[in-house]
Amino acid sequence: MDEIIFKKLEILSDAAKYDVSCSSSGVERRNNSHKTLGNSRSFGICHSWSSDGRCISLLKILLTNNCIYDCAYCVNKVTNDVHRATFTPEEVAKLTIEFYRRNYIEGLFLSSAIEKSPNQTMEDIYRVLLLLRNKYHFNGYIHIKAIPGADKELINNCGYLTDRMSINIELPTKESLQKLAPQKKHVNIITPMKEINNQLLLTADEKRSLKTYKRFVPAGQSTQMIIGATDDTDYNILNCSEYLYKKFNMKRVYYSAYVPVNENSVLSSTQTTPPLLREHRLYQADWLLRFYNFKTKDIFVGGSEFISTKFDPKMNWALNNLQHFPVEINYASLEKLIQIPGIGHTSARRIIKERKVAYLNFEALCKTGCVIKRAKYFVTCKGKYYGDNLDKDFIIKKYLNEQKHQQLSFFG
Amino acid sequence: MDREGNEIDVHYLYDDTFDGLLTACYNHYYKKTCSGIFSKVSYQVSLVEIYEEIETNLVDSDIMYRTIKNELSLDVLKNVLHCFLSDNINKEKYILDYLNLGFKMGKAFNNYHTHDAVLPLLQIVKKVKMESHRFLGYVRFTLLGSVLYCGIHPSFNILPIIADHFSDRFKSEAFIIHDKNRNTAIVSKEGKWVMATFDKNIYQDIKGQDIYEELWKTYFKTIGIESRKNLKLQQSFVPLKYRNDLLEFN
Repeated sequence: MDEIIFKKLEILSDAAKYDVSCSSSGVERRNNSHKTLGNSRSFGICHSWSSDGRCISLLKILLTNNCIYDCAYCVNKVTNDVHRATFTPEEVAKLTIEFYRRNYIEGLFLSSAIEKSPNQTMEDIYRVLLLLRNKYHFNGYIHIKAIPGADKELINNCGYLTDRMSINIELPTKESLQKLAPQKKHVNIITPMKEINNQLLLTADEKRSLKTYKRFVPAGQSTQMIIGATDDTDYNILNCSEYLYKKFNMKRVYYSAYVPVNENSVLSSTQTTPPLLREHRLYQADWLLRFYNFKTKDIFVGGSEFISTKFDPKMNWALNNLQHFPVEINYASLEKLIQIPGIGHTSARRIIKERKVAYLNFEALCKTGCVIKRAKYFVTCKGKYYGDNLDKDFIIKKYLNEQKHQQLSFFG
Repeated sequence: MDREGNEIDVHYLYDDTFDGLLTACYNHYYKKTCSGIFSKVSYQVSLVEIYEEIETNLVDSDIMYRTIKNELSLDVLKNVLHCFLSDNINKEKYILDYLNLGFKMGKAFNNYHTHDAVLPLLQIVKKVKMESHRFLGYVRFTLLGSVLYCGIHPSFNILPIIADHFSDRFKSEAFIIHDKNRNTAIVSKEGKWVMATFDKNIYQDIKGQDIYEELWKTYFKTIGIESRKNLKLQQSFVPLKYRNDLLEFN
């Protein structure tokens, strides 16, 4: 028996590893009973980091990798010759509990291939949830995939037992989805997203007006997009994200640089490396959309539909909108401060707090934790400008020159 | 006072406990001003200064505790505690400078992030917080019968910070987290915990018995994506000094 479980874990974690999301944040839940195991922390906890530098927070596995679909980008597609395995719900629950007790993980991230039908798969996931929450009294974090095409009732029931649900949108446009995953229907992906969001809004109402209410997906829903498998532009991608954030109150949209796993005429060959820098820039732009009041159109300048790889999106925006700069850090509002390249929310708040007790000079600005090598071109301290020359070409030249000495190690 | 009537600089020595430190601060603010607080154990006697050993007194330390909390803020108190838990040799100096400025300027002083009396302390606090956060993830329990045991080698004395988290999370379990650098441990059961001196060496003879340890290693190996391999990035998240106690790296 032992050997079988090892084999299963190997196959089903290997099959799940291309899913990006591993966050365990967003829910603060204490453990209120001596019988239950686990709690959940809003800031999220990473337990380890794998050889690719991605964090391991949740036990990320598939229930099964037996799939009836034939999506071109997926390693588990039906026409691929890979080892297949299926966990029983009991095995998944037991594994989660035993890992959790030893403090290896924050909880479970359960996904699955479609073995027979969407409903049957969703039912199996529901069974795991029931086992964990009711039999093992597990109070830790659980993230599950909602299966497109499963009954609304079933998805709803799961929502009351899990912390986060996600449905992968896979690709930013209907056309690309049609091309790479012809068996998946765009409408089947969007409908459950809408329903989960409606239920979330209802629960928020209940929370406001009722004494007791049942928590529904407290960490919200997220989704994931594949980058670089089709010729969709960054503009398409970010537009799609902006829509998802606005329309469905998505907590996160994850971007996954496509790792070529299948030889296929519509895809890049398995020899090409995944577009990691592009993925990184998309995340930066995503952050600007969510926390820095940027709109998609701000990120693209001069008609280009791709994000510059040379500069981060905020720097790129600032370089092309120099009329807003320099900003005097002793008087600017928070909204203005966070537009400055090199200054984020933490340092902006620090600056504002410190202004209450003292004027900031350049030396003080250096100590606030902002990235001075970018910020210096866009600010004045007590009226003095420290970037030599507020000119686009000058800044680009000088900045890149200074960059040269410390090459990007992130993507080495 | 010396013979000419000048104030002589006096150093207070305390016993390396937080209450001891607060008692010394109490003496500094309520009785006689001192020019520095030092640990009794590592203090080096000099010809110029005189010193006084402060006996830890829970009543005085409690007054000091509440004075900091009420007149400055809970955040300030937490910063002082975090700094105290670090291993910085000048930590008492930073704490004294920090509090001196605080009582001089009032509550708003904590906004003065870049001030010479604030920034050094905050930098230490940041390191301590960082490490204690890391250890929420880095603890790896081994089963000792029905008790969970874990030995760690943290740079700072972080056990008091992480204890609440673990005793809440593992209310249904009994566990020991052992700080092998300081020979202390938190022992917890049913949501309550105590910290105690602990110098037993248990771990060696029980390795390799547990199937879930092997499963975890298998999982750790397979979850990495080969074509995204980036060991440098991994190392920035899991520095080598922590890896000895992490099952999956051995």
